[in-house]
Amino acid sequence: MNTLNDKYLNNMKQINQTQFLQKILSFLFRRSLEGYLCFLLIIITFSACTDADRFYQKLDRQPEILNNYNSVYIVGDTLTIQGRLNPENNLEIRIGGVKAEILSVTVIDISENSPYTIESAKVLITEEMGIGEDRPVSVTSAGIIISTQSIEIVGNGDIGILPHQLQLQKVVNIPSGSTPIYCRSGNGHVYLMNNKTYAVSRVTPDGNIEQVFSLSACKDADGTPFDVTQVNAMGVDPKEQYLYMSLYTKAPWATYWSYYRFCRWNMQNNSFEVLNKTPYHIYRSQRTPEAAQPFEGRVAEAKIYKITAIYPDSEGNIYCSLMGHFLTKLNTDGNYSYLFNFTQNQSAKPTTEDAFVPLINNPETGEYYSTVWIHQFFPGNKINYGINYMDLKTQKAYTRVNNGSSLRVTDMTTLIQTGEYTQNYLDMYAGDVPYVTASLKNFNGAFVSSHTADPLPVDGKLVGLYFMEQATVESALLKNFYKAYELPALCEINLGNHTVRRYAPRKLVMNGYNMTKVVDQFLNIDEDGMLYLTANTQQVIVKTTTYNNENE
Amino acid sequence: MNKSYYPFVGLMAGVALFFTACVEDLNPVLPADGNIAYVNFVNAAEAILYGQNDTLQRYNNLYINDSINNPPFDNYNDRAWYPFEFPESTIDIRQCPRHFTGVSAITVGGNADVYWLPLEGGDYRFIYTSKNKTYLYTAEESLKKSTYQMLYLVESPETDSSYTVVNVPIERKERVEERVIVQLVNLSPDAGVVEVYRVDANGNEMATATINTLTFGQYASTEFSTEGTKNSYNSILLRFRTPGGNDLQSIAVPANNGAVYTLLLRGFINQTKRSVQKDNETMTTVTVLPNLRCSLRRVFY
Repeated sequence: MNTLNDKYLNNMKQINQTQFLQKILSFLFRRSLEGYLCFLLIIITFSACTDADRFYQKLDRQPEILNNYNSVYIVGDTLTIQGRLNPENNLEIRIGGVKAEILSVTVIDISENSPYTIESAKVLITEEMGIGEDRPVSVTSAGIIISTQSIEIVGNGDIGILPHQLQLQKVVNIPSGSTPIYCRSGNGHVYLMNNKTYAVSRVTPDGNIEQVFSLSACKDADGTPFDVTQVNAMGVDPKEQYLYMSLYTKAPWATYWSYYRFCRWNMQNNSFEVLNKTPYHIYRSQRTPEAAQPFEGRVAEAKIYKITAIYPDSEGNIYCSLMGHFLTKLNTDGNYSYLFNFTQNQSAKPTTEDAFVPLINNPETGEYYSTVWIHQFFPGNKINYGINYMDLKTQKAYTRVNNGSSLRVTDMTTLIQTGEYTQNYLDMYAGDVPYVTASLKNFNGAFVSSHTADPLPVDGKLVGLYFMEQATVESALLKNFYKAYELPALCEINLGNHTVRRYAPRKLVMNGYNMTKVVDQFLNIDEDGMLYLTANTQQVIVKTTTYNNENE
Repeated sequence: MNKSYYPFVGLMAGVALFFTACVEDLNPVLPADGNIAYVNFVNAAEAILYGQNDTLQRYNNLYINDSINNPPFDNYNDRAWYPFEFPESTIDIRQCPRHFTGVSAITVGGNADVYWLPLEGGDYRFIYTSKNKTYLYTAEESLKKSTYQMLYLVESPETDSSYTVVNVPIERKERVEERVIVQLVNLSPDAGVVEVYRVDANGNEMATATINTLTFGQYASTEFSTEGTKNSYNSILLRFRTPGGNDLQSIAVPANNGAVYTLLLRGFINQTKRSVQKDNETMTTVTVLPNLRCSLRRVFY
């Protein structure tokens, strides 16, 4: 088997040097002075050839590396380095500054029909090389050190932040026609609203259900009960003192005013309070810009119409989504203001009540103003995208960009986008290996996919369920392949230090429950870090509990 | 001369030539003797994105000097792309060149990074068309040696159908440590005069921040210190506003030490009717929805 060096030497041998030199010398030495000079020059010339030879030898001794190895390895993996390694010259491979154990060195053909060969060395990845990104790789041969592409080493992906493996366990079946409402109490409580009666029940982690609110409690400040046509949104504050709600009362027959009320029910002392009552005239001509104002100010005085999501925080602030067009804030001082003006979904056509309330009449056209006009007329910091979920504790808002290609983070204090993170996902059909505990760059669980539930923001991090597709793939071949990787996995995403870690050891045991794409959602967490979520297309509330391995 | 000396003299001359060749310095030769200007073209026009599929909506083209393919701007046996194609309308920065290599399959860096087309210094006509060669706008530019300039095609505020090219030169300087240089450009045809100011992590205006007043087509460069940016998401937080008035847009510029950015305020602040050429003979009217926004481009370092 020829090497590059052998081929070079063979070529040189094809020149008949002896005959050539004999002719030259016989001519030169007929005259002494000229011959001497020529001889000197030829010596110099051939000396240069010798130098070239030595240089080629030096090049041959220098290792060269093919940049064809992976960028990520798990502890225990084998990394194969190929190239001109010259293993006979004290080959040493160092990763993360640590001398790697060389398992084998073989000589292989560059390609099927090529006469040239390269060496292929296999080394073992160990924890001593350092867990993390940018672990340097160097190859030393004949004392010459070559630094090559660094790698990321991920640790044991089966270890989790929590000490025990988790499983899903049923808390309660969700009664037909009921929907979970927003509550981040941190004690595992879940609140359900009946979509017909609008009664609200509290579900405790042990499965007890207790009704905490019914519409019969609704009374104006003067004690007059009022009817509710529709509940637009509800939300419970983290201390579980108040149930906030946006209520709509349609104008009774022969009256002109409908009413939107923003209210709260004190679940501790069973008192009802109307924070804001905004009238809405049934005639278009009366729905003027003036009637829609003031937009901001004391909560009782501002005009507050249809709220479609309510997010109370632990400090007493209430964040409200106005039909996805605006995000407003009622602070602890009782001031109501517009934070964001989301300009991504505008239309130049007259607005309908499905799109936004209040409708505002344009006297010039006799039609309602467009949402373009609404967004220009209403306050709020304009950003040309929406928000999908928020972490009120750390004041971060998250947006899935382009249906999940990346995750955008917006700071809710400065109202400025502060980051955007592109997701990585594995290709099952290419046999990609899942990296569960890894850098954010190499975590391939598709952390912003619109096909999985949004993660639960917890103390500035995001906890979610990933690799469901690999865990539930129907193909027997793929199922068998991914079985070795303990999937699906609960993971904690830390955008601050760009890392992802498995939340609990090994896979999440689903026990037959299925977290349906898009529909099911994370609801709450408790003091032990157990998660509460809906499953089976919002038919059941489940929670994570410690899984006893002996059951296997 | 004795004929017996001839071989010797010939041999000596050959050896002398050999050594001469060995010691001769090789001077690098630049194209056009180094008379090179670097250009980055951006199609930042908004109204044409509202056209129908068969009009100016997609894949605008750029011809240089002549809208007929002639050497050197021809297809080189399909080995190069000409006329230059601006990428499709879904991409925020529709620029060309958009690759280091000229091969669309190889993309290096982000969409907003700036890639330069080297052109010999001199006078040029840049002809913007639709894919089916509806002529949109022709700009005449004089490119000078060793200059870098970004040419932005935008709607002109002069009439509802006119366009203009805003030429934004950028000076290539040595990297400035612990500073980020931001070149601010106002490309919005209807935002009017704007100011830029810096805010801290709580959203409060910083007293040391530089404010530039920019009208349409104006630009200015400002250095921002990276000190203290760990508390503000490792970013320099900037806001555009009307002079002393309402905030218009905000952006976080990464505090990458020594980096040079271009920050564009672009799009329309108000709903606007614009006339767009449907073909070379007829016009159509489109309603541009408000889309004022910021775009950040990393230029150097």
